Amino acid sequence: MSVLADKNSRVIIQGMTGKLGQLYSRQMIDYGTRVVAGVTPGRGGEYVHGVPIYNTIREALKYHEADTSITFTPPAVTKDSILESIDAELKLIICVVEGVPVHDMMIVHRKLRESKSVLIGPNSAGIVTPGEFIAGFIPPNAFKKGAIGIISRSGTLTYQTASLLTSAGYGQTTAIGLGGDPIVGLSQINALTMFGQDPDTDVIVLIGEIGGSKEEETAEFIKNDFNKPVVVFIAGKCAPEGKTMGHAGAIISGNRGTYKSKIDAFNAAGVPVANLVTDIPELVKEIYQ
Amino acid sequence: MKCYEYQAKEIFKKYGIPVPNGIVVDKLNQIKNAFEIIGFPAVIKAQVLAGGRGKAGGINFVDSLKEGQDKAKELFGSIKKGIKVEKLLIEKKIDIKNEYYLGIITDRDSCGPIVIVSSMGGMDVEGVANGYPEKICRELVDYYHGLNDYQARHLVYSSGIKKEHAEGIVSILKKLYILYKECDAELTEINPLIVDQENSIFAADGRLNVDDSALFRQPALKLYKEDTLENRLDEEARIKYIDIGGDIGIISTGAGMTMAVMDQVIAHGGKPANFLDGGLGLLDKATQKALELFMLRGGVNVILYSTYTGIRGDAMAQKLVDAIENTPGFTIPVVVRFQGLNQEIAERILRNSRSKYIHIAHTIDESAKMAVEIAGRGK
Repeated sequence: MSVLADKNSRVIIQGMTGKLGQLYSRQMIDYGTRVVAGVTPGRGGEYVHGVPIYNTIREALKYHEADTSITFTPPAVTKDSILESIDAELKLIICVVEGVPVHDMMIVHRKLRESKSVLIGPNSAGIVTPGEFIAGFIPPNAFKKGAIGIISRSGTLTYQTASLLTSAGYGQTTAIGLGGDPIVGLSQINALTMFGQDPDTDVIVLIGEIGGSKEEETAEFIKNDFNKPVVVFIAGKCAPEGKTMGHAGAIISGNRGTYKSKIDAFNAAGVPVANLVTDIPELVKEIYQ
Repeated sequence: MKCYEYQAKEIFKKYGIPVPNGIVVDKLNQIKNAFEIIGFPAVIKAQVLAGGRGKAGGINFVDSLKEGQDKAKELFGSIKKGIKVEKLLIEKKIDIKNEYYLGIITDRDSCGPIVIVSSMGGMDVEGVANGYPEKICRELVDYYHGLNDYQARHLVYSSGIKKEHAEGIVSILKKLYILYKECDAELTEINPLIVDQENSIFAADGRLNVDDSALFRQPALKLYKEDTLENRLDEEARIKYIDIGGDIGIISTGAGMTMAVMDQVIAHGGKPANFLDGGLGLLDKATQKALELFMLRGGVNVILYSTYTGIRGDAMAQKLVDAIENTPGFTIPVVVRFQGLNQEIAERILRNSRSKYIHIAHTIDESAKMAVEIAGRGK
C-alpha cells in the first residue's frame, strides 16, 4: 500500500501547456501516472502528449473522472488554481509552484480547512509512490518500492534521502515533499498520521530544516501519540542567525527555529537523529535489527 | 524584505497613522537644514535593520544644533548591531505620557494573522508576554473577514490601555491592519505607540517586513529593495546567495540540499564560503554568474557543485562546461556531483569537456571529501 496516491489516482494537470507543465507531464505519463486531462484557460481543445486540454477543471470533469491535481501555474495565479481544485472537490492537490505570496496562502488555507481536500505544497517537490505514481519535479531512479515512508520539507533532500535508502536496500512506500514555504497545506503531523495508518510502512524518515517551530511540535506529537519508529534529519546546522537560507521557510529568528532547538526536541522525544544526511540508512538499519 | 524605520513611517503616513515630524539625511551637510525644519529638542535615530538599536547607542536626544551636528558626525559610518550606519532619521522629540504596543504578524502555525496589543510599549513583546501576561492581548484573525471592530476593541480594552486613549488606538489598529493586508506584510509593528501630554497619538518607531514573493504586485514597496549583492543576484540570475566566510565555494539546488552539502563539508573539516541555491536558474544564467561571483569574491580555493536534482542534470552539466570554458581567466578547481535526472548523460558531458578544472564525484559524501582535500592543497 501507500499513502495519498497510487496507480489508481487520476490526475488533472493545471498549467500543462507551459514549459514545466509539458516537461514534467511527459515524465509522469512515462512513469505510468494516469494523467486524464490538462487545464489551461484559453487553450481548451488542444492536446499535450495526447492528453486533452480544457479551459477549466469543471469542463474537464464533464468528460473525465479525476481525484488529483498538480499545479504548474505562474505564482501570481496559483491561488486561483488551488481554489479551483478545492472547489472541484479533488482529494489530493499538489502544488509545486515556488514564490506564491503568503497572503494568498492564508486565503487558500481558510477554504482548505472547510474542505476534504489535502493540499501538498506550495513549493513542494511533489509525491512519489514507487512503481505506481509520480507527480512533481522527481528523478524516478532515486526511488524503489519498499517499506519506508519519507516526509520532507526539502525537495532535493527527498531525492537524496530516497537514493541513499534505495542504495542501502530500503525501498519506500511513498515519499511526500511537504514544501518549503512558511504556510503549506499538509503538515508533518498529518503526514505522519497517514503513514501510521498504512500497514506497509514500517519506518518513517522525516527531513526537516531550520526555521519555524513545526519540527518541535512534531517531536512532541511523536512522543505522545505516534507508535511507528521515526528517523529524523535536520538540514542547516551550518546556518547563521537572521539570514533566509534560500527560501522563506528556512530562517532562524532569535532563538526560534534553530538547529539546536529542533535536535533537542527530537532527542527529548527519543527519536534517533542523523547527524548527516548520509547517516540516515544506518539509523534505519538499527531499527530493523 | 525588511523596511527601514523611516520607510515604514512613510507607509504609516500613507495609511493615516500619525508619525512624528521627521527628515531622513544621508550626508553631514544636510544636518543643519534638517534641524532648522524640525527644531529642538530633537532625536537622531540611526537607520539600521536590527532590534536593540537604542541600547547600542543608536537613538540620541539633542537640544542644540551644535550637539546635533556632533552626534550626527559620530553616528555616520559607525557600526550599530554589526551594521554600518548610512542614514539618520531626525525627528521632533515628543513629550511622552504613555507608551503602548501594536503588532500584526503572519502566524505559520495557525496560517493566519495574529494581532497583538500591549499597554507596555517600548519593550520587547516576548519579555512583556513572559513577565506581564495581563498587559498583553492577542487575537487570531480570520484572513477572509479581516480585523472586525469588536476584535480591535477587545484587544485594546483588555490589554490595560487607558480608557481615554482607547478609541484613538482602536482606529490606528484598524488602519495598521489594512496596511498589513494591502502591503503583503509578514510583520508590522508600532513600538512604541506614544501618547503625548496633549493626548495626541504617534507611531514613534515602526517595523514593516514585506513578503518577497509578493513584491511583483507591490511596485511602490519594491523601490525600497536595497541594491545589495544578494538582491542583485536574485533579481538577475535567481541565485539565493549568502556569504559565510570560508574557502569552499558551494553551488547546489534547493535550500535543504544546499544546507546538507554545507553540513557534509563541515563534517570533513572544510569551511564553506557560502550558501548558494541556484534552483532552476542553473538551467539559465546562474552557473556563469556563480563562477564570476567566486572569482570576484576571491579566497575560494575550490568550488563544490553538488546536487541531487529533479531538474535535468544533463542541461545543468552543459551549462557548467560552457561557463567554465567561457569565463576568461577561470582557474578554480570544480568538484562536481550530479545525481538525479539524466545523471549518466550529465557525467558524459563532464567527461567530454577538455577542462582540467573539473573533478567528478558520485555521491554527496565523496564530493564533500574531495572538495575539502583540494581546498587543503590550495592553502
